[in-house]
Amino acid sequence: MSTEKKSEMLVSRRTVLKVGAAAAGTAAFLAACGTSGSSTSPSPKPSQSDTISDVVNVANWTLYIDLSEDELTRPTVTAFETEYSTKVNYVEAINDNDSFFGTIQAPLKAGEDAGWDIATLTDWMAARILRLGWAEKLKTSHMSNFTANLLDVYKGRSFDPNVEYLAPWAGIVAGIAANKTTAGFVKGFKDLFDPRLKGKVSLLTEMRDTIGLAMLANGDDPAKADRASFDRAIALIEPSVSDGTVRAFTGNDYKELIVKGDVAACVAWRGDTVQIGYEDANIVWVTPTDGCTFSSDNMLIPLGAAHKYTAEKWMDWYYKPEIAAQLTAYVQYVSPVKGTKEEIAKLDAALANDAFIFPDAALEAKLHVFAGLSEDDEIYMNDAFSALQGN
Amino acid sequence: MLRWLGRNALRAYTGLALVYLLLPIFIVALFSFNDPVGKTNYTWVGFTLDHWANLFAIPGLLDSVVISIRIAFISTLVATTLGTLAALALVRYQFRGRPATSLFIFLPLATPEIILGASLLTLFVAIGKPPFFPLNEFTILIAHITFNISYVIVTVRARLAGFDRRLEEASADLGADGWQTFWRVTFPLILPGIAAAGLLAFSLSIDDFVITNFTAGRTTTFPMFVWGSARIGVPPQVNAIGTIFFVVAVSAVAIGSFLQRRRA
Amino acid sequence: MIAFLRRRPGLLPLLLLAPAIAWLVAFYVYPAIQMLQASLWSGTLESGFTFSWANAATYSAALGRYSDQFLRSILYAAVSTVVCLALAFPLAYTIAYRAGRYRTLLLFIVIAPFFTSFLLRVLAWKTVLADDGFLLGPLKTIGVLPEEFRILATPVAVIFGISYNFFPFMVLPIYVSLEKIDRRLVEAAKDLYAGPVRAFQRITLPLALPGVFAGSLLVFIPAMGDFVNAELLGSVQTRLIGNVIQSRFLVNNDYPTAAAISFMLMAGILTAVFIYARVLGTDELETGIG
Repeated sequence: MSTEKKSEMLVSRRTVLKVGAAAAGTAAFLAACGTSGSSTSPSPKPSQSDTISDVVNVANWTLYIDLSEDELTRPTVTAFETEYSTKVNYVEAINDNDSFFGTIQAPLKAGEDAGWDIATLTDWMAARILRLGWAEKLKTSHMSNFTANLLDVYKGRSFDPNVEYLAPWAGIVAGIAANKTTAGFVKGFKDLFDPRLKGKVSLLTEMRDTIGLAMLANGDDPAKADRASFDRAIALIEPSVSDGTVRAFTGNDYKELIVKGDVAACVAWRGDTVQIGYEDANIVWVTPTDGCTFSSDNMLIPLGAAHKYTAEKWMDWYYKPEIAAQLTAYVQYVSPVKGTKEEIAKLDAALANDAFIFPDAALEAKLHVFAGLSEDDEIYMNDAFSALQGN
Repeated sequence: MLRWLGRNALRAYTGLALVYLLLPIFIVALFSFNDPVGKTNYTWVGFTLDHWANLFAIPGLLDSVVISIRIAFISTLVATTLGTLAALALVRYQFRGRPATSLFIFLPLATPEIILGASLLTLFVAIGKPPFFPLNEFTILIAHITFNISYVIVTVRARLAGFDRRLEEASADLGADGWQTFWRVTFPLILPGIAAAGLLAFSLSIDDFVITNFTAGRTTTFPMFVWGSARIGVPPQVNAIGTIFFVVAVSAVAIGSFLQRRRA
Repeated sequence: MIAFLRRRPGLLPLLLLAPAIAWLVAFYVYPAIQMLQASLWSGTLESGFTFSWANAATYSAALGRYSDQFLRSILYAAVSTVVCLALAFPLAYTIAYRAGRYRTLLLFIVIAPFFTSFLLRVLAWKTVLADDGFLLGPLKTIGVLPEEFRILATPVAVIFGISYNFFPFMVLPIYVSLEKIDRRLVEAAKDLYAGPVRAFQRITLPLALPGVFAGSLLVFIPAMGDFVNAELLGSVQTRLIGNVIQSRFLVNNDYPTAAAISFMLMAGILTAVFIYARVLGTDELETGIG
């Protein structure tokens, strides 16, 4: 070995010692640093002015807004932009409640603007945000349509009793989407684990939907979910995950899998499934025999949002029955707006009679909400559900 | 006989290897001309130039491309400057702690991207104040410069190693001072190395996903747009843009090496 | 200023280095320290985190809980490295010795994949390897493959993806090593009646080893941290430690565990790099990159 290399090796040893000394110093520094992460309580920003801003930042899920024929524009959004002379930065940034929460929790905790004026989150996540005090109170004097047209069923919810923070965007039904040629026999949640479907099944990363359906299949009521019924649900699913029957846990991405044929049946959201059906008529919705889970996605304005007034106008815009009808006709989710049924009849009579968009009593009996959870239970369940997914 | 087989086996193998390397690129380009039903672009339906004609019709796509290019440009500039200076110091001068510095510079290259991204996220969260917070284009920029510096240093260093100091000595002998020697002799000769490093940094930045994912917040770069749209179906326009990037990069390298050969 | 520097020649290199080093300290070292601190937090996002040395138990807990993923990452990275090596060596050999005037072109094609978006490449493989795509579909139709056969969502797909990704990193260093070998050594061996195979075994191969080692390290390290390939091409059974880190950080907001895992991963990798650097030096690695 050359002398150069040898001396490099010797010096490397010295380097290691130096680094070690630095590490020891770092340790002392760390201890001295004390606590971190827990921070000062957020100081609410001074109220934003009551004028329309030139931009508003909206975060939403995919497949949740209407698209034009050529799929290149969003008619209701464009109409809003024209009406209020503003620009909407509509981003389909939400694939999963927890991961989205992860992106906004840090600024909100520090009392800073999270970068979004509107975030559309599922009810349990919205409840968490409210619990943390991270949502702006709505000035309903700006929102006449909202006040007039919100369906009564959304008033008086335990986490927002006076309807001061949340404006429901859509009601979501979770059930099964199946390819009728390869998985036509699937009628209930347990059928997903049929050996004939090995490796062609996906479940949702949304814990309350997947576990909720499993609970129903076990005969338990998700509205009374506790650790015991949760464990039973996990026990039902777990064998099929280990043996490879379940191929993946997905957010909205089951759409791509089922259309491609990599998945033959999956837990899915109803509106998505109908939209997928337009692309591939073989993909059909199946109402599980034991029932579906029901939740709602809600718009809220994160604390400190820069364009609060415009955001309130955005919320209010979707509470105009004509706009709500346009949206609902495309996305096919349950509308929270009064008068949508009448408006939609003008666009498409068949949709007005669709029980899944305007639930009748028969369907309502099959819809089950998931219980509200304490922080401890939520952590327990999230952790176990993560472990199920290999995380 | 064996030698014939041996020779042809290698050739056949090389052919297969080339197909293996180029197949994805070909698929990306091919499916930009596809005319899918709905949004899922996985099976060939029909040929169309529509998507090339309406390249930026997808909302958000143009912005993400612009942002990506902007970030790549600035981060390349900063990283190449800082990196070249450092490389010069490491190659030309003996000083205490040079091997240690060498090893230190190498560390970011040995760190998996996911850790680089996660640690920067932790930092920005801990700082908690603008411009580091909320996450935005600035934080992405910082992240890109950070991983690019090491690549630039390593690349420039490799090229500098073969540099003939006698040219500089000759220049000094002819009466030029340090500054002049640097600008008129050294710099032009190491420029190809710096350019190569710059090109590397640019392509690393424009294509980065993992680190950007952690530090982007609300900003969407092109790779993040691809990731997001992969959930419901990557539009053919994205394929088209990917193909354009490929062609531009290939041309840049081709022109670069052609110019180099002419100069030599 | 120049006069000042002339009086203190030792200062110039330090000045040149300072900006880059300062940057790396601020945005590489300091964040690492922050993460170390985060790994010793306890608590939750909502109720706040507190720092305590006693939380070192997080490390052992994480190691225990995610041992599967750790081991799997090591396994997949190792297999990917071997696969890359097996595939890359013949190619590098051809380019070094048999390519003639096509050498530059071939080298160019080797690095061509880097000019396309990484994600698009992985997605392209997803198209090619789809269960009923144009590769598997026809094979299934004519009965060569069973209907339930699939490549995607299996370990094979993930390893395939990782190998493809880092293939050029293996080819280039080996090529550089091979190219440096003095051909006269091989000819001398042949003059001494060694057949081509033995000449290869005894001369070429050992001299190519530095390139092999460099390439292996350049593949193994990033492969250990992969999560995109596992996410897009894999399934629940192929979750790697990269996926766990991503999930713990961004989905579960479990910063302490995520930070602890990141550190353990880094520690493992740095040990490997240290050993490598001590034994072989970092020259070949840099040649491979530059």
